[in-house]
Amino acid sequence: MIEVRNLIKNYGAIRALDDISFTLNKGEILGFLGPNGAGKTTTMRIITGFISPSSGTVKVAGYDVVEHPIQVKKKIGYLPETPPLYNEMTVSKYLKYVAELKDVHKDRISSNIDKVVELCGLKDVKDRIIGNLSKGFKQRTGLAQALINDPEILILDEPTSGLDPKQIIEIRNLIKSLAGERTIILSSHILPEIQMTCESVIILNKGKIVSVEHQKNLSKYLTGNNSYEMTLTKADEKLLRSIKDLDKVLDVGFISGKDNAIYIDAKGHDDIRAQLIKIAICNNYEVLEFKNKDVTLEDVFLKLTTQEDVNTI
Amino acid sequence: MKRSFVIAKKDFKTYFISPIGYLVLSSFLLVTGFMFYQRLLFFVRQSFIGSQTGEPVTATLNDAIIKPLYGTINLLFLFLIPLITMRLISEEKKQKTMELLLTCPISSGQIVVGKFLSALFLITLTLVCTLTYPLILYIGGNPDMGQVFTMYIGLVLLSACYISVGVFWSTLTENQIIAAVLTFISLLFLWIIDWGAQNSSQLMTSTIYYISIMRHFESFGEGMINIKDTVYYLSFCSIALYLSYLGIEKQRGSL
Repeated sequence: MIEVRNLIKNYGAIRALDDISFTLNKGEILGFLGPNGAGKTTTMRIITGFISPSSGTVKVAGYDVVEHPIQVKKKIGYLPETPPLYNEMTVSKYLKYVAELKDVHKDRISSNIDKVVELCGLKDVKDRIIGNLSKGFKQRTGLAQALINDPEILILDEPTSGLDPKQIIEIRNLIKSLAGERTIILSSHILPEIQMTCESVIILNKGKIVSVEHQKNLSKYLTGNNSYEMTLTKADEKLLRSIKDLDKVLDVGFISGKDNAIYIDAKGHDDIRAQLIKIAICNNYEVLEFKNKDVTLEDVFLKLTTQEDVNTI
Repeated sequence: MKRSFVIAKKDFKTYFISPIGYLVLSSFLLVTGFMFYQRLLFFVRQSFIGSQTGEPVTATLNDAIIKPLYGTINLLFLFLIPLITMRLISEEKKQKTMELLLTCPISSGQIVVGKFLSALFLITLTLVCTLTYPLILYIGGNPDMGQVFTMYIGLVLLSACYISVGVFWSTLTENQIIAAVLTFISLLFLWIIDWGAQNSSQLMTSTIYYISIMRHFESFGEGMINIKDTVYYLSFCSIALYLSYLGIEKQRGSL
């Protein structure tokens, strides 16, 4: 459905995208993951035809974005990072305008509006001025706009940024419900979000693809890791020594900045949590908290980039 | 073309959502109304004096009232058109809605034309409102309506040129004030360019006269629709709009 080949984009002397290639089949959900400035937005903008690539090709449903922009744009619904709203219009007038711009057939405009209003939960604010809406409703209006012509492809740039937790869950569920016959690309800098919604993930950094992962593989960064954090009423060297004696433990030490908290790195995929707790309790330590160490995006990047370095050496 | 009209319609309505549409219309009618009234009083007094002293009145209604009135309209355009064109594209860029327009199945050229038409509709509407003045003269007197007609044709063409300049500057900046100032300066320069003609060589003089936007209005003021002048105005608009299109494409990085 979407075929990206050797995409390069330069902004003056800065190379924003460096040789990006990937393909996406019909019905798949792809996530772009990366820190700010990684090239997520630039890639999306090129696919949607908002900006032109410096070199390389993008084909959407067989049409080249540069040569047949109109054909491509008809198939895509796009929600930019800042929802493109006219603050002085009401939600329903705005949706009508976008429908006309997207050449939705006259007879279908009002039924399409009703459909997306229902889908995005905008029923109560339909006749309100967009400028007076809360951030969450603005985001939904943006999403409704992207859906108005019932596109085969949806491209969503950080659809949950700036929303409160309840709204984030609602938007995520909405995106999930849209999947199926639609092909979706979405970007985020939040790892769990991508993991929850996407089937495959492209991790970008500094304009390059660092890694292409299937969702299942991605989960190893989240739960399959063998790093733990333990907080006790009292932690000392003696406990560290006895933990270190376990043969699967690679490293153990105090967590700086936290009182009586230790970290444990273990090798292999075997679960040693039970053993760890048993050791603590048998030695009369009281465990207050035990958890898998949080994996932040930074950790994943560190891991991926250092792995790459090792490979190149 | 159909999609250009969608944009034109929406932007035309936007003029009347914000106060700007009403402001343009009312200030326009206030100034031209005042001018019309003063000119009319003057003409009536002259005719009265003429009838008392027995001197024949040589001025016609057209010369004494209509022509000066349209000089005023032209001057008002110079100030008002930068104000109505400044937001057309800069606002879309600033509000990030340009991203919507450019990812809709619509070309940059259609966007430019739509924006241009929206401002042209507003100006045409104000011009239609000023038709009251010749109508009043028509009811009470016997003005040359043919000349009035050509003047309106000329004014629409002239304002189209001004608007196209405004659209062009609006594509190049996110800042409305900068767009307005640059439009005003460009229009002013086009106005005063023929002052430089006297001090130049023969060739320069004729070139400057050809470029001068006001010279080409003269024939319309005299009651003629001159093909040469019409072509000048139409090509002026086309070039300015084409440059606007190039401006957008350049920013998309496709040039």
